[in-house]
Amino acid sequence: MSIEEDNVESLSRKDTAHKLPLLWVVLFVGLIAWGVYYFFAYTPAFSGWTQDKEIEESLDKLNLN
Amino acid sequence: MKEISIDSKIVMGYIYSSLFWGVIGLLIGLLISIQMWDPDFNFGEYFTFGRLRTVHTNVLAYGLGIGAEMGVFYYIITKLTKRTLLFPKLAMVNLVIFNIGILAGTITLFMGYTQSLEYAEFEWPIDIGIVIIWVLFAINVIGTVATRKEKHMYVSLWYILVTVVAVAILYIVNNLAIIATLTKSYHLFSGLNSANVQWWYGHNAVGFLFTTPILAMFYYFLPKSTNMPIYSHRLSIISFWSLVFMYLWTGAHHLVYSPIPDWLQTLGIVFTIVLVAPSWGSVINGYMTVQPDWSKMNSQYLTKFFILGITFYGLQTLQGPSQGLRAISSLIHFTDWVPGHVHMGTMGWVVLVTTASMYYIVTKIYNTTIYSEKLANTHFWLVLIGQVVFSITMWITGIRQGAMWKSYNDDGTLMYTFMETLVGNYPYWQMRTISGAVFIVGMLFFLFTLIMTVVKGKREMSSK
Repeated sequence: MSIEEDNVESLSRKDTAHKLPLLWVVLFVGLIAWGVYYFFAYTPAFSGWTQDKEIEESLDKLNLN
Repeated sequence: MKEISIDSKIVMGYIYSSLFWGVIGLLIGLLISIQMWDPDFNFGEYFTFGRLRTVHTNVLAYGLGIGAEMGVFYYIITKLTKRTLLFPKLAMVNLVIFNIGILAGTITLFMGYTQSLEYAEFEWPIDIGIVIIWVLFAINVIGTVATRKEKHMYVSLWYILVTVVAVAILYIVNNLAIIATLTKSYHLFSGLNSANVQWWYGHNAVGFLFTTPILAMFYYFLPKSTNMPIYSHRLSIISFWSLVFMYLWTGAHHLVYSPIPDWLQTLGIVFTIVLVAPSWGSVINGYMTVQPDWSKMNSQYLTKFFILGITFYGLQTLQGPSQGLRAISSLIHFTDWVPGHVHMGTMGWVVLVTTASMYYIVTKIYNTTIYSEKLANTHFWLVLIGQVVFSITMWITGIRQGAMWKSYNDDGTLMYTFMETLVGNYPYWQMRTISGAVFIVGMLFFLFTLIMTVVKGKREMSSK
């Protein structure tokens, strides 16, 4: 019995093989930019933010400390 | 043609095994869902929630999940490499070892032996068995791909290769332990390091057991069953490499607001959110593939499995990352929202794509058509309804629970007792049992349709 062979080439479209949807690229770049911002904003060594400080401040606001 | 090929027998062997473990895992899932709202459904020491919960997750992840993945991978690999498996006898022997390993692992969980690491509960002797099974599998996969007769590497092969490599690394590292006795060991890492390694493993188990292998299936079976080629090869490859690169950093999002260093949590969150892009690369590729002819959703019964599957993948990869954000994590962490999230991934994405792939494989191996499209459609709708109701129910009660936990009076005391927040779960937990039962009935339709297709194919073969 012969093995039924796939034509691997036919699994992908030729005309759009190299296309990257513009909106997707914008999303990707935007997320990376956001990631850089978020990393700097929430890393103690860069911005001074710490989760301990955050909880202290939220308690101060409620006058519960 | 009187008999199917040795490779096809191997594929079917793994599929049958995965179905067997699937039925057990699902029924135990149903039982523990009842135990959540009625403790009288705990029986003796072996059938209590504490033990059965780990049986449920491990039997389904390793028995159903890995069993199905090994079978389907072997099928895809022989097609995409245009050759037979390099070591068919090894694959047969491995099938036996696999079933013995899962059986032994299941029994030890019933007996209460556990490493107390989520999704890595198996004690060290079972771990060694699992590693042997995986290495034998890897030898066959990598060997066959390395000696392939088709030069072009289709994207599914990349996803298969990364699954094989990543699962090995993850499983071995997180199961490193200091052995005390035959049935007891201690995690090599301690304290925060233990937690960090565990969630690096835990999250990537989801990534490399429930994401990359299912994407391998999706990229192969969507074009095969619809006859519509994948929209963009480049998009699929960029999505692949960026997904694989980013996934391995994300584990720390399970430890938000824990004592692990703030920068580590933040880094985990960053990669978690950016991961939306590579995940959605595959979602968009799937939609764009079917875009030239959406009528395929009606005319080709498997199309809707894949498109709904990738839709749940898309929702999962938006919901998941958002859960990593500090504000959202603080509301839903430790609540029933989380099982709602997990089950959209497993019951929606994984099950829809895997069962559709199995339908396709069985009809090809036995050179026949599906026993009944009507039954397959019934399977589809029941599984879909069961899963959606399950997930939504858990999300609602999860938010309710989290909001109640966080409510306090003017003097700073908690507004609700823990008991009040728990009792509120009962109607939702009962609803989950009902929707879980609907899902299981759907899976029984699947089982019946698949087996009857094999029977039909065998009959046609012998009459030829």
